[in-house]
Amino acid sequence: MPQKKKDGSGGDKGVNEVHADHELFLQAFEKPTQIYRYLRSRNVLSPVFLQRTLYYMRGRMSRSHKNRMPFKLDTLLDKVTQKSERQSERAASYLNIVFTGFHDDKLEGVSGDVARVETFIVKMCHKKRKESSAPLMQVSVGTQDVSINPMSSGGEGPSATLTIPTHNFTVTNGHQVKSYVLVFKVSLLHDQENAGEPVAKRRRVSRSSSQDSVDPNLQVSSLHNHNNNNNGGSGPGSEGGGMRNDGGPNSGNGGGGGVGWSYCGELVMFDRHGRCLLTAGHYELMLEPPGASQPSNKASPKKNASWESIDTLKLDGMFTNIPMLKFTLNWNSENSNTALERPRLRPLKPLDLVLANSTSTKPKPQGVASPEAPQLVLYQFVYNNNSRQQTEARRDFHCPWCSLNCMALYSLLKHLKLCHARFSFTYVPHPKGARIDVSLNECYDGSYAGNPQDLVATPAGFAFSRSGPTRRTPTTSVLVCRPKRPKPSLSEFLEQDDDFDLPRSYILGHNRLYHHTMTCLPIQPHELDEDSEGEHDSEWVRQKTQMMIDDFSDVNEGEKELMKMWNLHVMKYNFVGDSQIPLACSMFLESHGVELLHKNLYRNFVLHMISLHNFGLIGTGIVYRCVLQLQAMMQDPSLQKQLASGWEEQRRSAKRLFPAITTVKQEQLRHSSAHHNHSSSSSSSSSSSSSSWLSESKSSPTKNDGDKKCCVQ
Amino acid sequence: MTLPNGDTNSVADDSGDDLDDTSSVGSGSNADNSRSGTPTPRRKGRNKRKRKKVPPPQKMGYKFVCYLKEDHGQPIFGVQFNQYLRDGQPLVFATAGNNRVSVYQCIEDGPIKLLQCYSDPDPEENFYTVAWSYDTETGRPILAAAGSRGVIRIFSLATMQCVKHFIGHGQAINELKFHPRDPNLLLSVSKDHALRMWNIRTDILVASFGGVEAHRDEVLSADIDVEGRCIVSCGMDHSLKIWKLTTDTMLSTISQSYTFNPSRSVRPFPTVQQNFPDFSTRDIHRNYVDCVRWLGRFILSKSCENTIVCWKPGLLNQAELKHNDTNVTIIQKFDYKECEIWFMRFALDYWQKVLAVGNQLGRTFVWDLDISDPSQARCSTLIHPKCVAPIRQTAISRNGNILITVCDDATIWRWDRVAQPLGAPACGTVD
Repeated sequence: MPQKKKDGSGGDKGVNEVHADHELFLQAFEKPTQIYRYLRSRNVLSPVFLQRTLYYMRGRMSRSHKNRMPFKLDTLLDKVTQKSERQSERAASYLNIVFTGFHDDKLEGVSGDVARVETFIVKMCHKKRKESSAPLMQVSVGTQDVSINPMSSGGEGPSATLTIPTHNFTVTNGHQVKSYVLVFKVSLLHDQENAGEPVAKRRRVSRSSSQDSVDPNLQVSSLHNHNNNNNGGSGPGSEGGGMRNDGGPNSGNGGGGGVGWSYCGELVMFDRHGRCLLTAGHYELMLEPPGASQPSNKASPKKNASWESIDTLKLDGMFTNIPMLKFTLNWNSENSNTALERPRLRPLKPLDLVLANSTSTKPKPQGVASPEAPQLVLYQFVYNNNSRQQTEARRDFHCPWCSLNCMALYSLLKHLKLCHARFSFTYVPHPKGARIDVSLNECYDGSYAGNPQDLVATPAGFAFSRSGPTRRTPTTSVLVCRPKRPKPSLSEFLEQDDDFDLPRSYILGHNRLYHHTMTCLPIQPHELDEDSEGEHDSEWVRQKTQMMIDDFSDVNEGEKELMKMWNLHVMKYNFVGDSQIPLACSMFLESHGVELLHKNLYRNFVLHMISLHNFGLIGTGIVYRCVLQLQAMMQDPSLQKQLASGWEEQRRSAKRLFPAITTVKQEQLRHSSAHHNHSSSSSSSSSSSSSSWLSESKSSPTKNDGDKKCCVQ
Repeated sequence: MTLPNGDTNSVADDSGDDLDDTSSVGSGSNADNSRSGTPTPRRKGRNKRKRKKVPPPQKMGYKFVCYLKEDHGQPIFGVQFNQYLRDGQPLVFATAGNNRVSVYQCIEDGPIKLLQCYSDPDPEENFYTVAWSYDTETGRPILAAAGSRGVIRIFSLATMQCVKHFIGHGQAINELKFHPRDPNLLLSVSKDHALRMWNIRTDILVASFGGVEAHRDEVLSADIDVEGRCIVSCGMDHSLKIWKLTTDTMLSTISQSYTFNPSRSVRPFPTVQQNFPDFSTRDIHRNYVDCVRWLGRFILSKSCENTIVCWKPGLLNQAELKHNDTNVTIIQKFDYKECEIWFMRFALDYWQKVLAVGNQLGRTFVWDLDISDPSQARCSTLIHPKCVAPIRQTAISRNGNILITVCDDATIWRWDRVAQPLGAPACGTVD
C-alpha cells in the first residue's frame, strides 16, 4: 500500500526531512486512497458489477463458452436422456443423515437423555385442478434416538445414523411429485427406566419445554408419547415396514399439538424445479414447538413484506431459544458411514485474507503483450509537482487499492486507469518487469455523474442508501454499443502527449434535473416530453381579471359581464395588433354570441362595437357585419322566446319595484352619450317593444333586484 | 401530590446536576440569532432581565419538574407532543433545533428521557418545526420536520429512518401541520410566501396556496381547523388569510391524490394553485403575525405586541366567509409581557382548554380557557430562576397535565400541573 512504503524509503535523510516528505506524500495520496479503500470494502459486500464480466478481465472469467459453438438443437434429446440415465444411476446411492444431537436450552436438566427422531419423507404431488390443496404423501423412513443437549465435542452419547436410499425420491418414478420434503419429528423420551415412572415426573420435563399453556392436554400428550415410544421400541427396524401411517396426513402440520410429537421441523429436498437443495454438510435445523401456529408460517412472505430494522427483528432471541436438531448430511454410494465427525466451528477469516485468497486459485498471471509475464511491478508515486517520488515493488498483479487480482499486466493497468481515476497511471517498460508511475489526476471530475433523479428520489435511492433492496429509478437507458476496440496492447498506457480521447458519453441529452416552473417539483423523466407549463392565460389571471372588473364601482353589472367575456376572450387568443380586432370580434361572436344573448347583453355588445369604432379600431363595415352576425344568431326560435320572456320579466319587475322608473330613466338618458341612442336605433327588429328604460338596461334577466338597483342609482 | 421538587427553588437537582454550570450560558442574548430581528421599535425589557425582579415563587397551576439541555447549544424552535397517544400510553414529544430532531418521553412524575435523535447530514440545516402523524396502514408514528433548507423530512420512528423527504419549497419552512382528519395530508408554511399541502402517502403535492392575492412576505404560521374545513395562515405581511378546503376542486384533488399514479401519467399531478384566499385581513395585528390557531370557529393569533388576540372573521353573528369582507370581530385579548421578538409560538392543548406562551425572558404565561366567559380567563406566570432565554414554543400534553417549553439556549423545561385548580392562587397578570 502506498502509505506503508515511504517508511522504508527515506532512510538516509534527516528526520525532519523525512517527516516533511511524508507529509507531502500523504497530502497527495491519502485522501483518494481512503476513498478507494472504502469503495473496495463496499464492493466486496455489495458489488455493483462483477469484475469477471469486464472485457479486460478475461483472466478472471472461469467460464468459457466452448460448448456453445458446437451446439445443435437436435442434440437436446440426447442430452436429456443421458442426464436421466445418470440420475437413475444415482438412485443406487444413499442419503446418509447422522444425527449428532438435539439442542434445547429449556431442557437444561435432562442433558444426556434421548429424544426420538422420526424422519418422514413428504411428497407433494401436483395439484389437480379440482383439488383445493396439493395431495401429500408421507412416508416414514426411520426412527432414531438422539441425545439431548450433548456436550459440544465429546463422542459420548448415541449418535444415530439414518440411511435413505435415493430411489425413494427420484423424480421420475411415475408419480407427478412436485417436491420432496424431509420432516423431522422429535419427541422427548427418557431412558428406559424413566418410561415406567409416574406421569408427574415426565410432566416436569414437558413443562420445561414451554408447554405450560396447555396444561390439561399435557397429560394426554405425554401419555401418547408413551404409546408411540412403545411402538418405536418394538420395531427398531421399522423402516422395513416403513409405511407406518402416523395418523394420516393430518399429522403433517397440525398433528404436533394434540397427537404427541413435541417438535417438528422440515427441510425441502428438491424444489419444484427438481433441483436438489440439500447439499452435504452440517445442518442445524430449527424445530418448532407444537404450539406454534403452522398456518401463519405458510403465508407467503411476499404478501405482507415490510421494512424491519435490525432493531425490531430481535435476531439473537430467535436463534438462541429455539430447539435445534443438529445432524450431518451427505450423499454417498455406500449404505452408511458410521464414522462420525462432529462439526467444529472454523474461525472466520479476516477480510484481507478472503480477498487475497478468493481470486488466487489460478496463479498464472499473463501479460497480454508478453505471455511469460514479468513478475515485478514497480509503482512509482510521483508527487510534489513531480519533484519527488517513492517506489514500491510488488510481485504480482494485485491492485494496490482494492487487492483485486487482475491476473495480467494489461488487466491491471486497465483496471487502475478505469477504477481509480483519481490517480493517473503511466506505464513504463522496465527490464525486470513493469513500472507504473502514479500521480494525482489533476483533471479528475469528482462531481456527481449518476442519474440526477437519484438525488431527489424519496427515499434516497440506490445511489446513496444501500441498507436494503431499493427500486431503481424509472429512467433506464438501453445501450447497445459495440465500439471498435483496438487490440489490447500495453502501448495504450505509455505516456501520451497529444491524442488522448475523452470517453464519449453514450447517453444523449442533458444529465440534469429539471423542475416544474409553478410547483418547483422535480420533473419526472416520463413528464419531460410534455410541456406542461403554459405561461399565458393561466387560471389565476382569468380569476384576477374578473375580480378586478367586479371591483369597478362606476360600471353596471351588464357592462362588467361583457367586459369579463371580452377580456378573457382577448387574453385567451392573445390578440396583439389593431389589425386583429375585426377577427377578434367575429371570433368573439362565434364563441360567445349565444351566451351573450342568453345573458341579455345584446345592447352592451353593440355599444362595445361602437366604442371600438370610436377609438378607430374597426371601421363601420365591421360594426355592421358583427351586428348582422349577432342578429343572425337571434333567429333561433328557442333563443327568441327566451329573449322575449327575459325582457318581459325585466320590464315587469322594473315597473313593480320602481314605479317612477321612467322619469328617472329619461333624466339619465339625457346625460348619457349620444351613441346610446345610436345603438338603440340600430337594434331594430326584436326589441321594438322595449321601452326607453330597457335601452339602458344592461342587466341579464337572471340578475336579481339588487343588480337593477345599482344600475338605476 | 407531594414531590421532592415541589417548589421551584430546588431546580433540577435530580435531573440536571451536570447541567447547572452550563445553564448560566443562556443569557438570552439574541444577537446571533437569525430569528430575532423584529422590527419593533421598542427595545425595553432588556435591562429588566435581572433575577431580583423575579417575584418570589408562588403556588401556581404548574410546577417545575426538571429541565435538560441539548448539547448543540443552539435555539430549539419547535416542540410538539404526539397527540395521537392516549391516556395510559407514554407521553412522547419531539423537539426541533439546530440540525437535530429529538424525541423524548416524559416519565411519570419524573425526568425526561431521550428516546431517539435524528441529525441532518447537512450541518447547515436548522429545523424550525415538527409535526406528528401516523402511518395509516401500520399505525406506527410518523414525525415530520422541516427548517431552513426547505426540505420536509418524514421520519418513521419504528424503523428509525428518514423514510421520505419532500423538496419543492423555495425557501425555509416555518411550520408544519397535519390535517386533523386525514393523517396523510401535511401542510407546510414557507418563507417563499406560500403554503403547500402534501399527500405524504403518495408523495404528491396536492395544493399550493400562494400567488397574486396570497401572502406578500414570509408565511410564519398556519393551522387547520378541527373539522378540516379551513386553513388560516399568517405571516410577515401582517395579514391573516383563510383558505377553504371544502371547495369542489380541493375535495376532488385531495381524493385524486390518493389514486393518481405518476408512472402511468404523462402529465404531472394537477396540483391546485390557489391564489385567492377566501378571507383576508390586516386589521388584527400591526406587525409580523407569527402564530395562529383555530379555537373552534374563532382564531387565536399573536404578533410581537404582547397580546394574543381571539377574533373571528366577519361580524359576530355572521356564519359564512365573504371574500371581500372587511369586518373582523375581536372577542378577547390575552395580554402578557416582554415578548416583542418574533417567532415565538403559543400552544393549545388537545382539548383546547389551556393556552400557553413564553416570553423573551424565559417566563411562561398560562391561561385556563375552560370557562364560559372569555374575559374570565385567568393567567398564571411560570418562572424559574434559571430559565432566562427566550421561549420559542410551548407544548401541552393531550390531557393538559404536562407543559413543555423550549428555549433559545437549547434547554427544555418540564412543568407538571398541580392538583389545585389552575391559576386560582396565581399571580394575576390578567388586565
